[in-house]
Formats: sequence, C-alpha cells, structure tokens
Amino acid sequence: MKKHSYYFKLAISEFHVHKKRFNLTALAIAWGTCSILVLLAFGQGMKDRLGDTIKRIGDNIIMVRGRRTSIPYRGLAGRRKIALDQDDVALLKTSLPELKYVGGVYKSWGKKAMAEKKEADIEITGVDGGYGLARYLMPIQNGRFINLRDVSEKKRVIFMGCDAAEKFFNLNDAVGKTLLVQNVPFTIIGLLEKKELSASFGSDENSRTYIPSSTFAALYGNIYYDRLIISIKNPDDAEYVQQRIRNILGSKHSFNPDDETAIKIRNTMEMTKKLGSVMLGFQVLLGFIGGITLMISGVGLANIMYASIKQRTREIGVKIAIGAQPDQIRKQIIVESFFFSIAGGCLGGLMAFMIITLLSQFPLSNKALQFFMNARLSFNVWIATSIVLVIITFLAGYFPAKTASQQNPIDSLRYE
Amino acid sequence: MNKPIIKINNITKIYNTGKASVAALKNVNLIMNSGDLNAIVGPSGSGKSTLMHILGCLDQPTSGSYFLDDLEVSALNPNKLAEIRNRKIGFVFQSFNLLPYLNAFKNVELPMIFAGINKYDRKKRVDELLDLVEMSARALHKPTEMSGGEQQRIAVARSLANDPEIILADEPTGNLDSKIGDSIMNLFINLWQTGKTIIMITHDPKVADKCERKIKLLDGEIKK
Repeated sequence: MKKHSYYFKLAISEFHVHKKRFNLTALAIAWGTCSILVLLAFGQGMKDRLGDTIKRIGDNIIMVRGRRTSIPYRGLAGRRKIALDQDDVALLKTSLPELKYVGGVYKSWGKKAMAEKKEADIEITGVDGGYGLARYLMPIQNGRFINLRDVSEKKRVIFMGCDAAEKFFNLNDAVGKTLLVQNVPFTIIGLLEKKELSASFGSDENSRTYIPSSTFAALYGNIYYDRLIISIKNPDDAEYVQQRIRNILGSKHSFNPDDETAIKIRNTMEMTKKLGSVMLGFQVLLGFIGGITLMISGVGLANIMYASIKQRTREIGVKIAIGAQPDQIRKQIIVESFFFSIAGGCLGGLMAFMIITLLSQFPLSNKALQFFMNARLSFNVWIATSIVLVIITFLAGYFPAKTASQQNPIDSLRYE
Repeated sequence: MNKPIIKINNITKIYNTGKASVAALKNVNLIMNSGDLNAIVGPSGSGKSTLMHILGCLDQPTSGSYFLDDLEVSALNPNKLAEIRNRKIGFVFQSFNLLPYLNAFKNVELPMIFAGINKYDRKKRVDELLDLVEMSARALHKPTEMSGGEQQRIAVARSLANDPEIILADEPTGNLDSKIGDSIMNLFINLWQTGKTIIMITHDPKVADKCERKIKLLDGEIKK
C-alpha cells in the first residue's frame, strides 16, 4: 500500500501536461461556484431588505376609527356619528387583556408652520408616550420619540418625519431647533428614521409630525380622537380581538356590533402576512434558481470530466499495460478531481467576492436596485456549493476512470 | 540458463461475441526457457495475439494454467497482475504506444514511477537505457517529433526500465521499413545476448528466421 502523498505527487507530476484540461475544469467549477454565490448573495440582500421592511411596519397593529352608523339600533336612528375618546381607550385597556398597547391619536392636517424663514403646512399627530414603540418609529441618531413625561407635562415638543423636517431644516442639525406651529414654538426632539414602506393607513409616515396628545388637546381643543391605535400580543388573536372591540364599543356607544360602518377597523397583520408569503415565495425561487444553476454547471462539469477521461482511455490502457495498477490510476484521477474542485471552488469564491465588492461600490440611488449594494455573500452557500461541485466532479471523473481502469488493457490500447 | 520460465498447460481462450463464441486458443501447451529468443508466427486470426496477451498477463485464459517463474498467474487479481507486468515483463508494441504528451525521458521513466523507485535512481536508469538504444540526444523530444524507428527505440528502452526477465514484442518491426526494422531486430538480438528472454510475434519470415525457436500457430493450435 502506497502512501497518499505518492498519488498526490503522481497527479502533480502530470499537471503541466494537462494544463488545458485543468484550466477548463477548474474554470467550469469556478464559474459555477461564482454564479451561484452571486445570485444567492443578491437574493440574500433582497431578502434582508424585505425582512427589514416587514419589521419596520410595526407589529400587529389594529386601527379603529369612529364613523357613522348605517343600521338603526335600539330606537336610535341610522347615520349617527360615533366618536371615540379617552374613556374608550380606558375601557378597551381594562376589558381586553390580549392588548399590548391602546392609544388615541389626534390628527390635524394643514397647520401652518414656520422656521428658518420658511413657511409650510404640516400634518400634526397627537400621540401618547407608548405610540412610538408600538408603531416602530425609530429616531435617528441623537433624537428621541415623545415620552410619558412630555405627555403628562404637556410639553411643546415635536418629533418629525424626514420629509416634513426637510421643508424647514437641514436634517443634520434639526434636533434642538424651534418650529413655530401657528405661532406656538415647539422644540424638535427627534427625526424619524426614513421608512421605505409602512402600514400608515393613509399619509406617508415620513411627512408626518408628532406632538404629545395632551399638548394637542390643550392647544387645539380636540376631545375626540381621529383613531385608536392598538397593538396585540399575539397576531393569531387578531380576528377575535377585532370582534370583541366591535362588541365592547357597540354596547358603550349603542350601535349594532354587526354595523360595518359604525367603526372602521383595519390591521397590519394582513399586510405582514402578504409580505411574508412574498418572502417565502422569493426564498423558494432563490433556492430553485440556485439548484438549476448548480445543475447546469454540474452537467457542464460532468461533461468535461467525462470527455477528458474518455480521451485518456488509450493513455490509461498504455499505463496499465506497462504496469500501472488499476488502483493507482483510479486514485490518481480522484486526487486530480479534488485538485480541480478545490482550485475551482476557491477561485469561484474569490470571483464572487470581487463582483459583490465591486457592485457595492456603485452608489445606486434607485431603491429598487439597492439589493445590489446589500448583496451579502454567504459562507455556508459557498461551502455547500463547493461540496456539491466537488462531489459532481468526483463522480463524473470517478466512474469513467473506474471503467477505463477495469477495462482489459488490450481493449483500451485499441481505443482510438 | 535452461531453466523453464514460462509453463503453459492446456490453455483455452474463448471469446464471446454476442451469440457466437470463438475459440482463439485450443488446448495450448508450451514451455519457454529462460534466455531463449522465441518467435511466434502464424497467419492473422491464428491466435498469436491472444497467446501474446495471455503470456503478457494482459488477458487471462478461459481455462488452463499459466506458471510464470513458478507463479500461477491465472489466479491473480488485476492489481497483482499489473505488478507482474511492471516488474517481470517489458512490452514493445507494433504502434509504439508512447504517451504523446511526455518526452522520451519521461516515457522511459514511467514504469519506474509505477514501481515506486526514487527520483535519483530513475534518472540514472533512464540515462543508461537511452544510451543503450542510442537515443540520448533525443531525451527531451516528444514522440511526435520522432521517426517511427526512433519511437520504437524509446519503446524498447521503456520495456527495459524495471529490468524485466521477459521482453514481449508484438510485431515490433511491423510499422517500420526493412532497414530500420533490421536495426530494431538487432537491438533485440543484443538484448537476447545479455540474457533476456525474448518472445516476438511476427509474420515476417526474415525476422522469424533470426530467432532460435519458432512456434507456429494455426487456428489456435501449435503446429510442430
């Protein structure tokens, strides 16, 4: 039994004479590895973005707005206005333990605001201290969202979406400055990290501004909320909770719980669910593309290996006739194919790395193309791809080699 | 020097080609002594190639026994047979069968690589052999850069690499013109004079006449 280093040396000693074949095979493996890695890296980048978006929507939000009744109920006429206030918030809080957060939101469109000698209309939302967390409104850098103390002390502070803030300020130094809203000064406490997609039920969150609900009520005299924002602990409870809300508010405000128009209820779970299924579909598609690509490069590889071994049938015959043992031939080919695979796999990884790095240097302003920049190489995918291609190379080389080495050398010698 | 080196008892070889089976050799008995210069002659289809392949451990008989240097080889596995071909038998083919991508030096060296001989000893031996076949000047040339006669000289050098006791030559002059064929034939006669056992397949009567012993084959049987 000869040492493995012997076959290693034997394979090495013939490398220079098979340069072309070596180059072709290694290149095929490199290209296969590279294309799968790049494809899946783009996919991963896209998936990351999508997942991020889903997270930013804010989890499991239910929105309730008071509307008009359409069904007469207990002697009360239809088309009666339903308005929600602090008592409704308190009632829902106490009667529904499934809720994580309940808060009322005041709204006002088109308030005149002024700062830095610029004037514009802004949309103002009055919220309580828990709203920011429930809606996943993350401040950038040195800012903060409205907190409980702001609300209890009726502070004149304002949290702004980037688009709204840009009307007056440079985003870099807006925090701490003063904004006049109908001549009442507000201190800017934070800016909203830009959201690309949100379940905002209406206007874009980036163009909204937020002030404490207590301040809102004191300044503008509102009693009734524009809407209630509710988040629930478990998304599976959504249907049940929505029905309970109808029942509870129905008995308090005396409307038929089946009256669809009395209050309007919407939730983000549907959207999250939709995005989730898109994401799942996307993952399946990626896996599919990866698999197909792997198969194509595998077939190409098998072809090259097979052809090269076939070409060598006569050579193998001569070697066996002059005393090479079939085992030696086989082991030499195995060592060779491992060389090809490892060299090709490393090269492919390097190529993919270069492509991804190069692409990430491009400043792409188009949001739809940003997955190019977010492309993320997966070490696991690289290893898995390399292993699969090594196995294919090995099988594609091994079986013809085995046949050739087991063949009667006389037949191999006749093979032209 | 008259020790029998090859003993063949009652060997039969049957080829199965689809439906028909053809007996290439029928109950052949043969003894060859060490140091003999043998010619196996016969028309094509007489079974001489088959006999040669069996003698060279490239093929195995359907029945019968074959002792090479007192070792029963018809029972050995392919790896063991390869070892015997490597150490005890040198092959020279009609179509040379050099590896086209290796130069003369490396072609001659190859059987020694399979035998696991170290690099230093290999180089020494290759130089000796190229000198013996008068091809030292062509050591770095590839087969495609050589004439047929030159290629056959390299092939003879290769057959001697592991200093085998037996040289098997299958129509070694068949692809060469007569003058060059003669020089190759002289090479074999020289080798025979150094004590090698030589078995040569030929249908050239001139070549056969130069041999000590002629074994005539006809329809798979030996004619005395």
